[in-house]
Amino acid sequence: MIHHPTTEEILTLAMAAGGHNPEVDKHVSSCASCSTELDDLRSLQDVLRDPLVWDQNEEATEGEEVGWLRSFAASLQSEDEAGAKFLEDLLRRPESRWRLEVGAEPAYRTAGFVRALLARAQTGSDESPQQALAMATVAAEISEVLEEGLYDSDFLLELRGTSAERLASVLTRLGRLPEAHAALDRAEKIFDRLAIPDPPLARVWYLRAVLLQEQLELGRARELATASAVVFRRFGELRRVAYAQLLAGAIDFQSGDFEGARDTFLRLVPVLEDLGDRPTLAGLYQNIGTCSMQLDHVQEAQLYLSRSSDEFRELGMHAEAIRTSWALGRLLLRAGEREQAVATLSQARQRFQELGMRSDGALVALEVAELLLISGEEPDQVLELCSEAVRTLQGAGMRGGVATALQYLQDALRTHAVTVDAVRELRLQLSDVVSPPPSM
Amino acid sequence: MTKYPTPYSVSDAAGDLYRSYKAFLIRVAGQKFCVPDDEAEALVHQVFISYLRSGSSVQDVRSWLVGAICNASRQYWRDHAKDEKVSDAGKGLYLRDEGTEDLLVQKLRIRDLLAGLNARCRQTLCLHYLEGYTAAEIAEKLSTTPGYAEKLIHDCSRRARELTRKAERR
Repeated sequence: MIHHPTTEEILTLAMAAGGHNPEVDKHVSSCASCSTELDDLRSLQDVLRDPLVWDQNEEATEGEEVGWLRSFAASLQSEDEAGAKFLEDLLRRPESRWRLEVGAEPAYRTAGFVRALLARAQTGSDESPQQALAMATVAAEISEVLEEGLYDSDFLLELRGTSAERLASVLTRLGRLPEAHAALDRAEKIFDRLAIPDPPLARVWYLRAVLLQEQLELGRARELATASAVVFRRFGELRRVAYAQLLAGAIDFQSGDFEGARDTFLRLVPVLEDLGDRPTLAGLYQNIGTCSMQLDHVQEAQLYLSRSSDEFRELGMHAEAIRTSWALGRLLLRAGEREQAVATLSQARQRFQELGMRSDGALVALEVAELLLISGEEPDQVLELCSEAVRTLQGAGMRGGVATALQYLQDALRTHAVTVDAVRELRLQLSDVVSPPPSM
Repeated sequence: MTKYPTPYSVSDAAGDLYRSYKAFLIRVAGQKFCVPDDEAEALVHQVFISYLRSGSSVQDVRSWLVGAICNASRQYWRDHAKDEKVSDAGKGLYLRDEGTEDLLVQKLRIRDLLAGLNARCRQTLCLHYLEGYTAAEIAEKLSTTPGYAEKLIHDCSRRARELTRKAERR
């Protein structure tokens, strides 16, 4: 058994004081952990020689100096509270009149109201991207007319840049990519004039990476995602670091580097656990499961997809939970567990219907029907599943290729001559309309 | 009637943060980036205003404040690079020097950890490491024996190391 010297003995060595034991010296020079401890002690001593660490007695005193910051924080808070009330007021009016109402009412022209609009545009962009766009547009317009004398110039610049940034984010969600790029260009130009430009510029790089990923410019997207993560880390914005790395992993996945993507995602698990960000963690599990599926690590994929589904369900994100179960059903099929796959997919179909997500339910129903057709089992159930899907999709008023494929399957149903090809064609047409199970 | 304490507000938190970090940040701007004193103070004000606007997205406040003052100082020199009065050395200060922020954050952490030592220990370490006092000189200053001063330096260094190690484990 190796006897390492005590901290006391290593400290004596670090202090280069007389009387240290030559045996200790000998041990430390050949022992990795003890020489690390010695290095750490020496680096601590170096730091202690820097005047920066000894400014305890120079703390700013209470009074005018601290007062200005306190009053700034208080006015920011009260303006935000008033802005939130203005927003509730605006939301009660028709969206088509927002710009008019805001233009006519000077009371709305406050930074607090702009921030309230921007915050709501961000949280609401998933549920209602059009409304989020209207909010970001109004916010951008108000930020341009705020009185310069009322606010600090950097404060105004940041508000204007953030409005352009949020506009870009919503436009990306709506698939209006050239406009989103233009909004980001504007945000970048504004942020570059700030006294502290790097954090908002990193947000622009992150969003640009999302845009470029959509446009399949994966190399440049990857570079920007990584660059933004570096800046976020430097500024201790750890949640944003995780998001930028998550994006980098997704880009790797899209580039076909499943192994690299999986490694990135696995490294992020403890980070998101520490941050307590459960919705993102649930999505991360889903990503890991999907990578594992691509790498044919069936057990691992099953583990992470189940974990993701459970987590989404616990969070009350039922639609996401079902989508993950859907992916799990496909995995089981790939692993040759046909019976279990049919059971899992059937359960997903039923849950979609319970949630009123009929088109998604119809797509899963067709997937189950196709499986049963291939194996030649349960012809009655095949007919039932296909009829149900046709009814649902007709009710949803599908057009184009889906309508043609739907008609084809309906004819086949009438003559009880449903084929794998007829079901598959409709399913493939539908995949473009209905969100497929998660791939990333 | 029972008197309830006033709730801790955003403005209290801002004030506390300012009191704790203002001096350190001014020194960083002044010593590391040679920003003139009055300008350094203005940059620190800007750092706190900017922090208040983005505070909710920041998980590591020390890193943010250090990153922001370094960024603001470099930006200051970038903006003044065309100024003929600024020396060439000053003009080069806007360039990023990898590792500067990490080292400064480490120093800020240690500075905060030293507050966990008792006053005598802080004084001993400050005299020894910063002022360069020997054990004999510390003994004279603290009216004690050189042997005891030697022991104090040793014990307090060990305590400082224990504090940093505990923080690393967290």
